[in-house]
Amino acid sequence: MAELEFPNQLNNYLIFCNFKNSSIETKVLNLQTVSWLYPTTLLPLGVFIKENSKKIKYVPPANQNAANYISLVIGEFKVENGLKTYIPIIGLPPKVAEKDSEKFLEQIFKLHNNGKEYGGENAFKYLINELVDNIYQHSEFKNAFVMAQKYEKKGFVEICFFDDGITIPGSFAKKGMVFEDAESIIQAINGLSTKGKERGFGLGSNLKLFTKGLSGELLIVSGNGAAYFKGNEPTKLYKLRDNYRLQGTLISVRIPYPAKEVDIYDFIK
Amino acid sequence: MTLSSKIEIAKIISENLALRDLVSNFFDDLEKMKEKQITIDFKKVKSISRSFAQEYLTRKNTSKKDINEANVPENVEKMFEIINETEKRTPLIDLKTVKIICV
Repeated sequence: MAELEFPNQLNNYLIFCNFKNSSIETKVLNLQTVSWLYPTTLLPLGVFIKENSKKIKYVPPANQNAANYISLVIGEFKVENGLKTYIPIIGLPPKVAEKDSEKFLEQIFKLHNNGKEYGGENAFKYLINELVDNIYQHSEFKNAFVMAQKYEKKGFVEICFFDDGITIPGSFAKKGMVFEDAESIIQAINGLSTKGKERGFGLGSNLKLFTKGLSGELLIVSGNGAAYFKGNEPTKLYKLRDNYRLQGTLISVRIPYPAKEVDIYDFIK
Repeated sequence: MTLSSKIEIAKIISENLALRDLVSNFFDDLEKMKEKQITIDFKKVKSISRSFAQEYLTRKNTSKKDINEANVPENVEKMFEIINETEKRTPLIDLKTVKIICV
């Protein structure tokens, strides 16, 4: 299968698309054979299940552990105390209540022990802060969510952000900057900003810190475009067919765990 | 006599200074104060994002108030230095070298 040649995170996004497309056609979301889903699949799928609970019948996995996990992750859109290895799907406060996002961020930091095992407190907070700020600054979302899962045996944490906003190409297009969707992701990484020349450092500095500082992996899906970055490997850009289109932006990061403390200032200049 | 005031930014915003819009709101409130000289106290601040620092310096430089800082942690100081030193960015990725794959 050609899909096996794609990076894992992209494959996991495509799994979400396949479930979504099939359920729209059949009115049944059948997860019976599922034994595990990564956040890159589960975050957009969980939001889809929530939003379509009256239109589409949900058949949970036969595997009871998987069924319980999915139920727990998507059941409550709020942080619960005492969870050690994952953050369930939680919603960002809306733009008008952006002040409350400080509490939201504090919850994420707390549940990850302030990032001490993910490259250090400075690095972890920098990554999360810049990603969340980007969502508020550019996406014009109605709904935005985060979910994370730590895989201790596999040695990484996967953190996903998903918003249903105007997409990266849509944000550029509003200012008369028209690019192919995949190209627009690279333009954003390279620092082109819709808000002036002194802006636009967030995504690029995050990419350097993620991939070079922490040896992590980063997938960005927005509209009909996707981009995947890993270490010094060549950037992979994807033009997605309409049935793989995402109305919004999904950012999926994998950070090796535990990761040694990095000096962020080597990467964010 | 010039009126002055000291404000603990961690109490007003957060110990983790993250979001750009919160700086704007913070400075909007500062501009309404009657004091001319304002000291922003960074006591208890644990982290600052690049976006927050950049917006802070932009608003400070265009403010009608005389603003200075106290108790600035090393990591915040470094971030301010990076913002001030940044002159020109070079593209991280050369689009001409990237092949687009259809999915």
